[in-house]
Amino acid sequence: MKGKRSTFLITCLCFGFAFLYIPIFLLILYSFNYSKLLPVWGGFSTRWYVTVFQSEDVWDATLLSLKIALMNATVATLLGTMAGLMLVRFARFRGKTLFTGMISAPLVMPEVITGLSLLLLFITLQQITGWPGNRGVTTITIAHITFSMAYVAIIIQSRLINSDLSLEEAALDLGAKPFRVLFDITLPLLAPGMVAGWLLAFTLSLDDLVIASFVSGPGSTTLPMLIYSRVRLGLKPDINALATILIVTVAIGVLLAGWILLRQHQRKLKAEQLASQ
Amino acid sequence: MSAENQLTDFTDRPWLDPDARPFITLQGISKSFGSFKAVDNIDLDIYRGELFVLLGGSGCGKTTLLRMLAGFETPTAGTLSIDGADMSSTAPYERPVNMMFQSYALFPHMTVEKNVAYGLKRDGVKKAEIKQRVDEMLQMVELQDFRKRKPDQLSGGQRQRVALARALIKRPKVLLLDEPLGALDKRLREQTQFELMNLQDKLGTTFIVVTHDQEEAMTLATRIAVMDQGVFRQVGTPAEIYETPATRFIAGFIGSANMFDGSVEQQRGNLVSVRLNTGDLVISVEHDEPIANGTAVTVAVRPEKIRVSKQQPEPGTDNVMRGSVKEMAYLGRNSTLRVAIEGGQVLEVNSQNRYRARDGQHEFDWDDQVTVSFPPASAVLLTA
Ligand SMILES: Nc1ncnc2c1ncn2[C@@H]1O[C@H](COP(=O)(O)OP(=O)(O)O)[C@@H](O)[C@H]1O
Ligand SMILES: [Mg+2]
Repeated sequence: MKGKRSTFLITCLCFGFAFLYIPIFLLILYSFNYSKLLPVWGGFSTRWYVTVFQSEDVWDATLLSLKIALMNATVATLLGTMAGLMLVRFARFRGKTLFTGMISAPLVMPEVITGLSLLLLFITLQQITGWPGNRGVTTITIAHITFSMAYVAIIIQSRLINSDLSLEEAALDLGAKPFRVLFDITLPLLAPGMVAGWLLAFTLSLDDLVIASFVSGPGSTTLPMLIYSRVRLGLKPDINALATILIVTVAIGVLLAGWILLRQHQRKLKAEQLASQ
Repeated sequence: MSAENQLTDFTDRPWLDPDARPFITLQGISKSFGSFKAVDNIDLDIYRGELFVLLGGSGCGKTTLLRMLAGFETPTAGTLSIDGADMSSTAPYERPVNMMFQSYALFPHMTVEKNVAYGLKRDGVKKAEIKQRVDEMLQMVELQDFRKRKPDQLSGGQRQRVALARALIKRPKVLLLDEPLGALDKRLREQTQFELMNLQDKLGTTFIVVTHDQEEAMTLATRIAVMDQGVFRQVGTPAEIYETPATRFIAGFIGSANMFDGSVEQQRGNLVSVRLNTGDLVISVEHDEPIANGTAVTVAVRPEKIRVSKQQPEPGTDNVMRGSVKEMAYLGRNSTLRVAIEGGQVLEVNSQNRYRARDGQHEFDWDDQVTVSFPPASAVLLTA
């Protein structure tokens, strides 16, 4: 009975993993396919990688995406941290509960709605103030900041709620003014949360297609937009190569983060060992 | 007694001196959270150099009172002054007070040295002086070798000492300590109690210590305030609180006490006869204030003040009761007996083990018939 069930569970697990990883494996495999026709294996080759690296469109889109993601992550982390601090640490103000609820709205709002409403906003603004002249990097970045900021604020909020208020009180008690406490105690302790928020904002921006499509203008094509438009014209092997590069980059990032976390954990274990001596 | 003699008397007990100026004054201090009164209309004077202990069970409002002194909670009502200055509108970072937190609240991202130096740095003290004072302070708490460690690399006792050093380095007028020894194990706690007392003696700083441990309170305090449900039940020296508890609650809360309920039969001089509600017993108690016949009272007697014997007491002995030993706990130095007396009440009695017990033969054993007695001066008459 027990043996049967575990066989069943293992089968489920295998299928699950197969569904997750076989497509990715196929994608990587076909990126090295010499043949131009997808299902036909024409031998190993790196020619599609050469094509990708020689394609000016791909370079432009990649640089644009990175530029937007960097700006977005930085600004969203700053604003999101401030919002989180305001909502948790500072004195009650009118509508605090409302704001706390509203900050999580962008998380559940359908992207299409967010994109559409931001587009309407930019059009209205342009009619009234003449800014933004044409839609592009600026509008995409602003749009990304509006929703990634909410994610950062929520990460910061949860870290603040779980953190020990007495640390900040101890600093106040020792003569630090509230502003000083923010820089000496609160922000250093929030740093891991801010890094996590920054990384999240960065990836959210890097793979957003829907919202960017709404608020972008002519000549500003992000990487996801480029991939999507190419694929619509038919599957081409050079896209597989591009996707493989993306996967490898992301995988390196994940492994790096994991390694950092593991090292931190080991250091903490060592510290505890030292303390118990 | 000469006037000079009286003066020296008061230096150790300023609260008895009618001319002494209190260092910390609380007047009608209350704190409510919503409709719940955590601290309820407290008046208190604390004098310079005292080691004042707030003693009470969990949730009775000790921490809340301490936090109002530190400036983290604003009193709902009342005034609070330290060294003559009103503190009502003074921010925590401007009060001449430092606090040692229950959780220690050490900054986890700073080394021991940086933690201790933090208060001086915020005050803009010069670098050379900071270094010198931190060195001195670390020397005092014996943490010189740990200066470069982070708090998570320290044991509980070491953390406690860092917290103490950090709170003392600014030489505050008052040090507030919230359950300073609560996180330590029993042995370390007892050892640290004495270190804390020596330190306070050396520095002369006024200490206000919160604890729920009555033995700790008795060991440390110059005076104790027994707190319950947001109010002070009694304020006094450890001896006053132990020997002359004001109420049944105090008598039962500090140490253990045998309580006899009864009513006053007569008062002759400072001797009061009390007829007990159970059994046909009259006991006499010393009591100085006049008390009306028929008043319902409680007589409290500490276990160690009751004599227990297998022999018949000499004629003329006061407050003699016959009973039998129901339980006995051998504790080495002494034994605790539970003796059931006529009328059914069970008394707790301490008996010194003056003879070596051999072959499991103790002076008293289960079901022994004994007599217990206590002099009228050893009992306290309680009306509340
Ligand atoms: N910030 C707060 N909000 C609401 N209730 C509180 C707050 N702080 C303390 N209390 C309540 O006040 C009472 C006294 O708390 P506290 O002073 O911490 O007790 P103690 O330190 O004596 O254990 C407790 O019942 C606690 O729940
Ligand atoms: Mg407490």
